[in-house]
Amino acid sequence: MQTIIVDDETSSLHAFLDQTLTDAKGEYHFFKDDPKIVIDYVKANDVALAFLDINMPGINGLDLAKALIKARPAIKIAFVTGTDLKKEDIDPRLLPSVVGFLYKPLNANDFEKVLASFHDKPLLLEAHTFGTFDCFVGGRLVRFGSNKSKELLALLIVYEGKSLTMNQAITALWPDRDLDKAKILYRDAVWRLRATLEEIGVPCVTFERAMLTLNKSMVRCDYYEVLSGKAPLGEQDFLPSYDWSYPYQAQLEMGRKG
Amino acid sequence: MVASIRKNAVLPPLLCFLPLVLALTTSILFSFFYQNEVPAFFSLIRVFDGIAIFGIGVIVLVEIGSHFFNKEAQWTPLFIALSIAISILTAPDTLTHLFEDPRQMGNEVLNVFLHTANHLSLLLTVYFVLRFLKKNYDVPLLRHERILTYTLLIANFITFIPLTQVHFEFLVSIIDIGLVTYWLLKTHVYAFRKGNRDPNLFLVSVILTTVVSTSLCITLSHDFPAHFYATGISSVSFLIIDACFYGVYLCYVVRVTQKANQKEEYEKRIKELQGAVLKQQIRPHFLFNALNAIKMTYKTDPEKGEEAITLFSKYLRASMRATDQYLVPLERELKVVQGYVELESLKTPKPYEVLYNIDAFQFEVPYFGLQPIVENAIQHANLQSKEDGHIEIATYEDQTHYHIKITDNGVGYDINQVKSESIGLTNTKKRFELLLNATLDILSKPGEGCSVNIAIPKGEKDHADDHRG
Repeated sequence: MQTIIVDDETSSLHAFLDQTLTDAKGEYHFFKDDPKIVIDYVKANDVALAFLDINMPGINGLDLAKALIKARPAIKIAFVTGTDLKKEDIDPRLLPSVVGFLYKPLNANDFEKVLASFHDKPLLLEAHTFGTFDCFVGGRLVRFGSNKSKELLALLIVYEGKSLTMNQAITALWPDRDLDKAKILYRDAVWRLRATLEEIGVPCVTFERAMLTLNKSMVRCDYYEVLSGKAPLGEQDFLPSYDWSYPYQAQLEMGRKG
Repeated sequence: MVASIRKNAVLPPLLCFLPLVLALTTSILFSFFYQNEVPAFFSLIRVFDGIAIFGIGVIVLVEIGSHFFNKEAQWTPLFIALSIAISILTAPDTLTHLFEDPRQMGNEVLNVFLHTANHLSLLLTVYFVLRFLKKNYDVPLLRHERILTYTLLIANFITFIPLTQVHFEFLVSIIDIGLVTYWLLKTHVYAFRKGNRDPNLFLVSVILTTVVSTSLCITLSHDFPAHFYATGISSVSFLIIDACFYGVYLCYVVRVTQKANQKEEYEKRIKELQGAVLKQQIRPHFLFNALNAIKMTYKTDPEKGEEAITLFSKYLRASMRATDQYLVPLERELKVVQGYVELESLKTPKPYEVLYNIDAFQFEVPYFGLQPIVENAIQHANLQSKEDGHIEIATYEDQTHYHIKITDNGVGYDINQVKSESIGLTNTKKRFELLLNATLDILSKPGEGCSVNIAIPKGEKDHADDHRG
């Protein structure tokens, strides 16, 4: 797949290559803001995706996008900008070709989201439950807003897509707290989890009032692979940091012996 | 006061029936005294009819023109004017200029056509008056009312002519009179609840009353001798409708002009407040402290330093957007708050907890409306002096309001003594009031923390529709 990156600033092009590009399989070509060269290249080559800076002295990124779409209608565009540009600010005629935005300073997280949008494949959350509980998106560790929001996600994972009510979550995560305080802490954890999942672009949890449900199809988890027999149970403990995980650990052990 | 309320409540509906009483009395008296001739007096009334039609014609032209210059112009007054004009032109009384008895014109097709046009234009007047009431006064048109009204109006179009052929058109007229009477009563009830203070509503009620009375008279006069028309019931009624419509139109123009001026003033005020928000957010003190904290973070943990740069740039970007986005979903505002809290924690490890007790979030708040409140708590509550220092942002809803409560268990303060920071809180309070008609109360006592309570009425969106983010 051919991708072009167009920016008038060399430092931005370096930053793109150095800090943002996480996909090693694609073919990337970098251009400065000479529109004629860019348009001629796109005409002559099967370019699938173009990252275009918006503010360039040679040509405005939006105008360049129109010219590239005219040259190659199937091309998809991602805009690179320092401002708070959003879809609502774009000419509606361009929108079907726009797959996302990268905001400066560039980061790999946004790049992953754009690629996922381009491939029309949602990002997957990779959850490691044996040993320490960690989650990854595109190979990068997910940082949670709080320890409890991370633990809440772990609980949702062991629920395997069944709905988790507020009371069930409070019983597991805050067993010794009085109910009023526990409800506040629950809502805090829910909000932080929601914010984290939105940040990483993996909306794998449905949030309803006093109930959460995990969408298993958006999660790749070693626990599910062990349960389905696709992978053997290893030596590491299952979610050892969480007391409520002991029954699940016991069940896995029984499965191993059986 | 009770007597005046009663007077205010009862008088306007009574006055609305004056045209009906006037029309009936006039017709009975003159039909008694003038059997076959049309008195000169009624020629004068017909001159007034002509002037009325001319006046309505002017209004029609003005309304058509206004749509080219004013994007706020409504179509309803134009259609009301056109309907009234058609009903005057096709009224049986107008036709007595040409024939003694319109039923004896000899051209039955034309007679039926004009009769139908007159009848239907009266109904269209009612229809457009209802739309006018809904648009300008928010008089509720409930779903079942709308369905019934539109069904009956459509049925009129379909059945009136066939029923005329078998002289049963009075059946349709009776149903129409019932329908218009219902809407008349509903308008009166609505005006009564509003204290009958709006002259425009009163005039609209008079229009509806006069339509009822005219329809009633024409229906009842169907089997009366021709001189019943000659007494000028229609002329008197249409004169009254005309006069009331001029009054309604004048009030409408004044109201629209006032609304446009208020909107301009409101837009100016909001822009000023939003501009102040931006100034508050990008003040050098905050910027340089944040950059310094980021620099220190890079030294100890480059990966965290990179995250801090991303966080800082997101926060700055959000600040820039604040001048042209007035209202945002609560979740977006909470992200701004969270970003600010995390930037603050770069300077020193966070000695306090921030809890997001979010139980309701399907509503909007002014952009950078909550951040100044949290900033105030962090800067002044001295939370690090408490072992369990915390800030709680709670949201919940009841039947009428969405509530936001931001509390801290810090040292508390005397609100009157807070100088420069109060600018942010004052700005926030004004934006909540202007954009959402919300109330913001601050409760704080030295030693007892601080609580900021915001109550946002549900369904408030009059001013805010164009400014969503």
